[in-house]
Amino acid sequence: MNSLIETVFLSEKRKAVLILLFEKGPLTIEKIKSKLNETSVSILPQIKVLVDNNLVVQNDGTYELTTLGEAVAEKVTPFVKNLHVFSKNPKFWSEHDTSEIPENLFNRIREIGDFEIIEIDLRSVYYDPNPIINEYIREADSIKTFITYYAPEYVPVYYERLMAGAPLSITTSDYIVDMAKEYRTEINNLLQLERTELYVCQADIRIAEVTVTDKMLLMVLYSTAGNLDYDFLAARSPSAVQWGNELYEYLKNRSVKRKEI
Amino acid sequence: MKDESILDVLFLSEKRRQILLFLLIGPKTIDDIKTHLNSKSSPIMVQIRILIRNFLIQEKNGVFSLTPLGSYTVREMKYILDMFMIFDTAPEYWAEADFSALPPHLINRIGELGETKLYYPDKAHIFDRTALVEQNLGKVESLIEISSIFRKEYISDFLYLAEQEIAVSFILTQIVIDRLANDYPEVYYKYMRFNNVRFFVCPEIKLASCTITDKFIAMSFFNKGGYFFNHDLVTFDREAKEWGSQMFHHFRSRSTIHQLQE
Repeated sequence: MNSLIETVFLSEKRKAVLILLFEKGPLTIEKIKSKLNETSVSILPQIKVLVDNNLVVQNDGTYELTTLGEAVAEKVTPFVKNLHVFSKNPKFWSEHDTSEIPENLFNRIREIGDFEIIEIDLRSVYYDPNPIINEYIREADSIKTFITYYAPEYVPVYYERLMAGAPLSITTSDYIVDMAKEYRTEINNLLQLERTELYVCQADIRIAEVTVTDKMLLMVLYSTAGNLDYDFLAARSPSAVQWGNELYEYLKNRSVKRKEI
Repeated sequence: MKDESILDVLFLSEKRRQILLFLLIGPKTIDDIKTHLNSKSSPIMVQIRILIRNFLIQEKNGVFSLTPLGSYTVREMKYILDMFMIFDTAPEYWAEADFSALPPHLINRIGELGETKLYYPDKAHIFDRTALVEQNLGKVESLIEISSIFRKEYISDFLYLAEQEIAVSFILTQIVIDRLANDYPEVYYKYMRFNNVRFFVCPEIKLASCTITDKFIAMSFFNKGGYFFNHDLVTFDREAKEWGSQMFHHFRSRSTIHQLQE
């Protein structure tokens, strides 16, 4: 009998079989081979180790997890999948403050899936063409944005999308609302529209931006030192949009609705 | 693939795991780490360099701490190691026990039980509660019993505790309550009169029994064939308290209050 660390983590193949059976349920050896792109010779010895250590059992020609295997796989799978996402850019995830993302969402970071980090050159941030706006927001049919830094470059494109019929939900800090007071009349007029809403939070929430459209998620985090470095995380999978929606709702629920400023 | 390298960093070296778990407590100097690991600085520096290179820890002014990535990774690794320790303590037992009787969210958190020990009675006491549980029952100040089997303690030790005004909650199946009421009516009526004793009926309890006290938790499961071997899986870990109270809430929320039956 090996320790569970040895059984689970010291073989790529064993770990892959555990996760596969956890996600797909009982499978024949043929299915396991084709899903993992392995041969009998390469995979059977590893399955035998899982069987010998009571994590997997063979029943009527299919392999399935035991109660023990199920417990172990349920614990390990989310962790391994989250590490997948972090490993695409471990530097980014080590240098940015993620403490404001609630634990239940951070533990599901795997749902972001494939993402890219876009570094914006600060010298060009106010000038067209802004790649973030061009590539990610121009096509949006709905916009929810949580933002705690001053970003006037978004105003024209949000206005344009709003006028094209897209619903717009903004959650921002009292600090930013104060800065926008010189446009009070225009903003209050827009807030009359059915499809706009404004929520205001305390300025001390340590997330710079979470923008979720119907097509993508954008997230800007402060550095661990508390600075804004304009590294945009962008992800386009439906599960990333769903994850982003949940994060937006969480931030919005910590804020107060305002009909006017 | 890169993520394999993070897993390798975590699981291929016991020393790296120890450094990471130590930093989970808070930022530490190299001297703290050396003392904690009882090791010289040069082999430790090798491991620390690997951890820094993989973005798990950072150094500032001679103080080492986990990065945000490291904090998540080490926290989750600890949960996994805690679970593995429970299962590795008695692998044959966990392979045979039908612990799917536990609610899934508490299986996921089973590592919180901490250090567990498995006790089997010797043949002369084969039908008795294991000695360790028996001895410690006398010291408890609160008692919750979740059970689908009738145990002799219900008419002896538990009754004695109830008489000492210890708060006792029973969550039992109907047949176990019936057995108590029919075969030991005096005990049953006594319990019913005590203000410090509560009875709940649960329509389904798949584990054999679970005794949750302020001092320890003792559990027993049926095996996968549905048979019962007298045993106790016991933890005295203070950290297991929350797990125990989640157990109570899980079964309590599925139960109804049992009223005196004539």
